[in-house]
Amino acid sequence: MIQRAIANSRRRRGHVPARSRAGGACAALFVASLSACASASGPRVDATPLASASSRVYEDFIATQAMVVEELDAVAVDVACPVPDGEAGASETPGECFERIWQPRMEVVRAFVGYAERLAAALAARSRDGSSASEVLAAADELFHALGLPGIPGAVSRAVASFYEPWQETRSAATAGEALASADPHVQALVAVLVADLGDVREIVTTLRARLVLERIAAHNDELALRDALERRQRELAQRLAAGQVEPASAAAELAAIASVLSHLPTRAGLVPARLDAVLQMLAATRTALVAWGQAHADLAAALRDRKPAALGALLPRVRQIRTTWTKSRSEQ
Amino acid sequence: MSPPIDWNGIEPTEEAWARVLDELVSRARRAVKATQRERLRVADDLTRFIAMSPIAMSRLDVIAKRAAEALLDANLTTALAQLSDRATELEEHLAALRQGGAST
Repeated sequence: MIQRAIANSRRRRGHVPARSRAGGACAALFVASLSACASASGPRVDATPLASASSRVYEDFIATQAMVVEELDAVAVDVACPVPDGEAGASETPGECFERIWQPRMEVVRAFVGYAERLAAALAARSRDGSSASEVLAAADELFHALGLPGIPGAVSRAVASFYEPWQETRSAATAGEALASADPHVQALVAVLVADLGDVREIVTTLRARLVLERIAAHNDELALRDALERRQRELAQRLAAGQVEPASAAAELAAIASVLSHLPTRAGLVPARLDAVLQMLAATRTALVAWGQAHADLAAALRDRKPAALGALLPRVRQIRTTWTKSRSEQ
Repeated sequence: MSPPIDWNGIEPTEEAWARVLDELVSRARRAVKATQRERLRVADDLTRFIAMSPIAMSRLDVIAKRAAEALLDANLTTALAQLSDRATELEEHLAALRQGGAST
């Protein structure tokens, strides 16, 4: 549907197809409006940190999807996978089910990346020669095309299709500040949806963690009971040894034998799947980065509206720091 | 919220541990209709039951494990359903963008 709407509009306007696909629903108003303000005076607004942070958030979403799919398929869970209305239930693994449901989020975040990159390029061009209008408009067209790709739910595609033609009619009417002010609440709303999604993924991973602990405790219950008994005996012997109630040499020999057996037995702590703790850290980092991205977008909107420099310089180091923390935690597993 | 189990105060008899399991299974039944957090809490207690109960009572452990698995799988199903439903929310925000575009 979206492709048809775009094609119809292009036919009417004699539009030349753009070269590549990039996107973000929010970009439509904002990026298009840059053409209207290309000659506007004001301080240079650099959106490069927003673009770099977008890529990192996208990388986190890719990693999140891969890890959750792997973990879901590694545990023998029995879940009822939701299927779209009117479609028969497919024989998906839990991992495949998650991947299908999660995919639209990947598309939306990827669209954010394209949006931010185009935005950064357009703002740089505006600063340099003030003549980036046609490229910016082409980018906006591609943006809608990107959101009509397979993988985006039909409902989203329909919504974008209904947005596309009115936008074509009105895109030259707004200034950058006005357009961004109207787009930013919706960008923030999309970020809020993604943050809520990450909350559900956290529930999934937390539940998988509990499921693995359950499996492992049940499987190693005999060994854990033996460990408990041996550790009790260890404490008892140590107390009696300290009180002079046992012969030291025989107590030492028994303690050594116990220690030898214990070294081959699992511990409860060792049965906790540490890799899932790393995934939970990753999710928290992704959430922080996403919220920071949304705040940076709002800051950019305010900067353009007020014609003041945007304070985005702090965004990228923050996202990098989050990534470094996560990478370090993974390497320690 | 149900009171915590006094794990160290349970007598080492099958009757005593069976009473604890009865209580946990009742909590599990209620938790099926409760929040994900509550289901997880009861599942953790059932896991602890398996770890703490005497080895000779493995028959009870089997029941505890099945109840915990059912709760945890219900949690996964709920989370997947919530993610699936939220596609509608994405649609609404994108539709709002359309109205914003028209107003400029």
